[in-house]
Amino acid sequence: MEEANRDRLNQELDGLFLQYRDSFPEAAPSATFLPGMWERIERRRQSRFQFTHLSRMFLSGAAAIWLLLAGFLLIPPSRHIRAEHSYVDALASAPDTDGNSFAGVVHEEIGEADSQ
Amino acid sequence: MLIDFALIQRAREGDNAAFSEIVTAYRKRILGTIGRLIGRPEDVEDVAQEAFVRLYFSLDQLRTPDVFEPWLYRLTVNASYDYLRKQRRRKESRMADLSEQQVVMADASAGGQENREEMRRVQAREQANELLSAVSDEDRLLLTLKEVEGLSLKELRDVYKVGENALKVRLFRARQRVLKAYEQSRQARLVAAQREH
Repeated sequence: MEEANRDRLNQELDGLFLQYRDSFPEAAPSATFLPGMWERIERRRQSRFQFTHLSRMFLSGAAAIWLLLAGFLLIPPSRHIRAEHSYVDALASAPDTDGNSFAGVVHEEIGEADSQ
Repeated sequence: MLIDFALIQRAREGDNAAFSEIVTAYRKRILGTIGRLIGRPEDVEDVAQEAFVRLYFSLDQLRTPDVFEPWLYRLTVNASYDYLRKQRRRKESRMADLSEQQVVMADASAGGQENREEMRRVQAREQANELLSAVSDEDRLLLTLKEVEGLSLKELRDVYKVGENALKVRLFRARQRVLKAYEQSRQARLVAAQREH
C-alpha cells in the first residue's frame, strides 16, 4: 500500500517535471545579448587590469621599503654614535691636561720659593 | 558538438569574432537550460551573459576539445547557482510581488483558449518552481539537469566531476526530498479543495 502510493507520487512527479520542461517558451536571445555580453567582458577586463596595476604598485612600494630598511640595517656600526660608557667613565679616561699644568705651576712656584 | 576546435583555438588566441561565433552557436541552448534551472524567464539573459563572460576568461584553461561542452555546462550551472543564492537572499523583499501565475490569471479572466493554455503552463511552472524552491540550490540544479534537461549520469559526472556512485546517492537523496515536498504540497492542496467544497 505504502509502496503503491510512493510509485504513484513518483509518476506524478515525473509528469510534473515534463510539464515544467514544456512550460518554457523557446529561448530567443534578444538583439542586445551579444553587445551586452561584450560590454560586460570589457568592464571585467578593465577592473582586472586596475586590480593588477594596483597590486603591482603595492608590491613595488613594499619592495622599496624593504630595500630601505635593509640598507639602514647594513650600515657599519662604527658610523653610529654609541654611548657605551657612562659620563663618569668617560671623564676618568680622558687625559687630564689642565690638572697637570696646574700642578706643575704650583711645583715650580714652590721650587722658586725654596731657592730664594 | 556544435563547433569545431579550431574556432575555440582562434578564440583562445584573442579572436573576438571567433568567440562571438561560439556564443551564437550555443546561446539558444544555454538560454533554455538556464531558464529551466532558475525558473525565472526574465533573468535568463542576464545569467547567460554571465556564463559566457566566465567562458571568455577561462578559455585558455581548456585542454582538450571533447571537454568543451561539459565545461560550458559547468560554467552555466555555476552561474545559475550564484544567481539562485543571490535570489534566496533577496527573497523576502520579493514576497510582496505578484506571482507570474496571478498576473496570467488576471489576463486569462478576460481572454480565450490561448490564454487558458498559457495559464496551465504557468501553473505547472509555478508548481514545479515551488517544489524545487523547497530543497537546496544544489539539489535543485542537480535534479533539474537530470529530470528536466535529461542529462545522463555520464554527462552529469563530466559536469560535476564526481564519481558515478556519489552522484547516484546525491540524486536519490535530492529526489526523496523533492518527493516529500511534493507529498506535502499535494496534501495541502487537497485540504484546501475540501474546504472550498
